[in-house]
Amino acid sequence: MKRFNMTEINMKRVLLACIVSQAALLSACAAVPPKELLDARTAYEHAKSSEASRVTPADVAEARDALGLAERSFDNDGDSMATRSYAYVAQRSAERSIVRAGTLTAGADKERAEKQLLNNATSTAESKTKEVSEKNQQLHNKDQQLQNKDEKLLAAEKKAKDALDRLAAFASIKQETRGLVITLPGGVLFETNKATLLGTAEERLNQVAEALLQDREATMVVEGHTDSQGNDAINDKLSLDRANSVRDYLIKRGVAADRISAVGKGSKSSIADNKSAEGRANNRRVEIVVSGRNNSAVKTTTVVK
Amino acid sequence: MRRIGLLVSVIPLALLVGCGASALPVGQMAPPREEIRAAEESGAEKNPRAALHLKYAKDQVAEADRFLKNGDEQQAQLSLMRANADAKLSLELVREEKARTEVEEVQLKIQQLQKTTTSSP
Repeated sequence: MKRFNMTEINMKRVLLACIVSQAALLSACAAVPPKELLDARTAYEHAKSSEASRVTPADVAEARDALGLAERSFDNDGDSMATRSYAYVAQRSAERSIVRAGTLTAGADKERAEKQLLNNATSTAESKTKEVSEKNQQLHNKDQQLQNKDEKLLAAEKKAKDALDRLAAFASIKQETRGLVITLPGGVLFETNKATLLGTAEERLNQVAEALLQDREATMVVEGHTDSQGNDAINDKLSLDRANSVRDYLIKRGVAADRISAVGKGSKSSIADNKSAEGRANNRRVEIVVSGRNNSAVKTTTVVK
Repeated sequence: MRRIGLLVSVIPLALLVGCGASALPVGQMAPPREEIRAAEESGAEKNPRAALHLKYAKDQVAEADRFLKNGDEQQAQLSLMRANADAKLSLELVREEKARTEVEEVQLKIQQLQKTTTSSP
């Protein structure tokens, strides 16, 4: 039997003790990972596969480093409070990287939305401005049209007034309930007892026509009147013939035929005493009663027979 | 026998280094008061998840104080480290919610503008 000296025996004992203690230490290091570490690993894997790895890679790297610290602590210390704490921090770090990615993504979304809002607002404002501009232009055009119309109306009124002023030189013009009466000195339209217009009468009727044509909407009635000399039948016929002569001439000068009519009043509507020559001269007349567009401007032209 | 002696001396040392020399970056860690204050001022209490992590942070700061009173600085530093992580997460959760709310507000304005534009004559 081989004999060992005491030194060899002691060495073996020390070696055995070391192996046993090493096994115990190895056993401690190979302990089951704590829940915190398992959660941290899961959280990191989640962060790594999420948008965070693209949006916040530095934060994910920070979580990875924190997890690495926890893993090393576990390798070295096993399930210690330090390991659990590092794992806890690693898990929070991984979660924070995901949340931060959400923050940054929302920030980018907000920036895009603000740009869209600005574009939409600008577009709307431009559209409104254009709309307002077009409406202003339309209003301007209408104003211009009204101004033109007013100017035309004023010009027409002035022309009508001028025509009446010229008419007033040989006929009296006065306003009655039925219109404006213009009285012309007698004997200028017809020869005595005749219904044929004198040459000088035509010139005056031209001015009457000019005045009447200022209102294309007006309607006119030509009334023939005589003095009381002679019988009524003759006077009635004479007054109607004279009224028709004037009507026909005015139509020839442009007055619409459907707006002018003629009546013979004979001697029934005297305006002066038939006993005197002057009165009879005043009674011999032709009246043109004009009803204006507004039924207010009525012109009456009286032409002495 | 010399080789056996070498093993006896090296292996335990290596194991000691491996198990006990993990670099704990706890150092002198101040309480995460700034993060906690920022989270509170940002309205963490109104966000359930942020409020929960804010509470964790505060609890762990209190825990650190208790460890310090008992002279356990190492544990106190670990508690502060965890508190810091929770406070930062709480603050980030509030920021994220705020950012999302702002996006919704702008999108609402866009919708209102569109509605105004389509409804105007």
